[in-house]
Amino acid sequence: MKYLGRLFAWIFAALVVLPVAWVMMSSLKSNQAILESPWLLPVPPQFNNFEKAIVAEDLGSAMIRSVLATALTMLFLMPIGSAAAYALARFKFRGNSFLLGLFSAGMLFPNLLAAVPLVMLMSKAGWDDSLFGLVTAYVAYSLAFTIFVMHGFFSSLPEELAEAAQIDGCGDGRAFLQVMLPLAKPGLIVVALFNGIGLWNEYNLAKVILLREKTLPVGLADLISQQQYAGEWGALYAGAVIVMLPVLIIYWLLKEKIQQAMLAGAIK
Amino acid sequence: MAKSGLRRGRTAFLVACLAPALILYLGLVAGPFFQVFQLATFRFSGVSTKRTFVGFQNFQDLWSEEPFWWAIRNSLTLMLVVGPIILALALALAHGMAGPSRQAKMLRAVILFPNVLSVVAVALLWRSVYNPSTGLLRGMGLTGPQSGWLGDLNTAFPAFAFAFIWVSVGFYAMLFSAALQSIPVEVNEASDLEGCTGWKRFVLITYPLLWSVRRVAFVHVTIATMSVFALVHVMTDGAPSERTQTILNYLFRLMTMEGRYGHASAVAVINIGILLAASVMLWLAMRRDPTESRRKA
Repeated sequence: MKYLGRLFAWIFAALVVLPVAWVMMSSLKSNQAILESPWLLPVPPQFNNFEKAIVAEDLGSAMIRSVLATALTMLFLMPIGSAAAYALARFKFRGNSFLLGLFSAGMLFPNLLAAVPLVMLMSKAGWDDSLFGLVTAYVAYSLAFTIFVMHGFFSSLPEELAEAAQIDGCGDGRAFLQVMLPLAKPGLIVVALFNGIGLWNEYNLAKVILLREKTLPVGLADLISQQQYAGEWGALYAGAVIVMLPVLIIYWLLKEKIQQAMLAGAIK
Repeated sequence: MAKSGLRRGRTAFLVACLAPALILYLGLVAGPFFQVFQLATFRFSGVSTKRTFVGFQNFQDLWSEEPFWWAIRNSLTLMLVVGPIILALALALAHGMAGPSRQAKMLRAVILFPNVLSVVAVALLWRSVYNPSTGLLRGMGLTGPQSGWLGDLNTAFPAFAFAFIWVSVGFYAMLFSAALQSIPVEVNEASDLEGCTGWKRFVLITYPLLWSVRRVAFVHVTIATMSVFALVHVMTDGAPSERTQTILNYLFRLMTMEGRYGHASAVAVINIGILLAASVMLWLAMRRDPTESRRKA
């Protein structure tokens, strides 16, 4: 059983690596080499594919927008989400479990279901096609996961610590900021990592909220539908590598933490 | 006096902690979610503010649209057929990935990797694999149908489903392998002594013990299969002839391409209905812990 499973796991692992490696290899080849010798190594490597993707196909500005959207969202999401999670985990009050349920329910439904009213709201507020609107939506739609997982982390911290801090004269605010929040740091890191990767890759909300402006995944998707006719394969693969590479590096360095975040989001 | 001061301070603290999250969540997530039910009864396009109340007419219109039925059929196939396939594969993979060895860790890392990739990049990857003129499969001699794996009426959906399995299975394998590791060593030792090994042990011991994580996995995969959008949107956008259409991709098309906001909302309502019905059925089917009776005995 175990050996059969192991063999199967190796086969599947190869199936994962093969196409990813192939795309990476192709991003360094000329169009002609991609068409004529798809299996040969990219010698010499064509780094101008990346230049083409960033400058000519304008993925450069999409990249900047994606970095901004991810960073700004994290800047607001993490304090707002952890404050709410802390309040729900630490204090018993009426409606406590209802609120936790309400927030957690957000993980049960695909975000596109609310797309029609959301887009109407955005255009009414004048936030459509703006980074501000996108970041606001990103924060709102990332709260469910953030609060759910941070609530778990805060609940696992001993309550006595906050109580001790308060006996020493700390108010609720200081007990949270100076005692409990630093203790929840491992949880914060795990949640931030997972959110960061998800936001960098995010497609649905960016696609419906932004019109002319694009984030990197939307820009790449548009490029894919254009390249069908243009045949600039090298630049297209370079675009895919630009999206994948930062995630690949972070994932490889912090894979245990990311696995932990995924499990934390599912179980409980 | 001091006590009521403290209490007032605490109320203020709670409000300060919860208000920003609640306002954002109610305004942009929960509010729109419930508004969908109301919007589904109107006919309107996003551009003009004019709305006409039409009752259930939007649903009736969808009823007679062919793309809608392909969307329902494909999404249900994903949920009822592809979802269980994903879980079965994941359970098999998990047996090879569990454990503290370096090899197992390496396998876990590689197999989970598609989950952190951008879905758009995954879509490009699989388009490239299937591409009839430059594709990886073609390079291996598997030319497939003339119009390509994703272009042929018969192979498009299975080809798409394969890509979906590729991107999803790692997460569930991860979930199951964590659960396998949490089965006490004594249980496996005892079953070894009793001569209960291999497939027999899996059926009699391992599988029943995985009950709680299996329930999580079933709920999760049901939601995931009903959430398919970006992958299909970028890979095929429903082509050829709606053979890969899904509910959310159809919702997106109605909304952005055809400007039929009321119909798009009706599709959302139907999606919610399917998800709720599936959740209730899952809950009924997996309410009982199968090892409970044995523990009492």
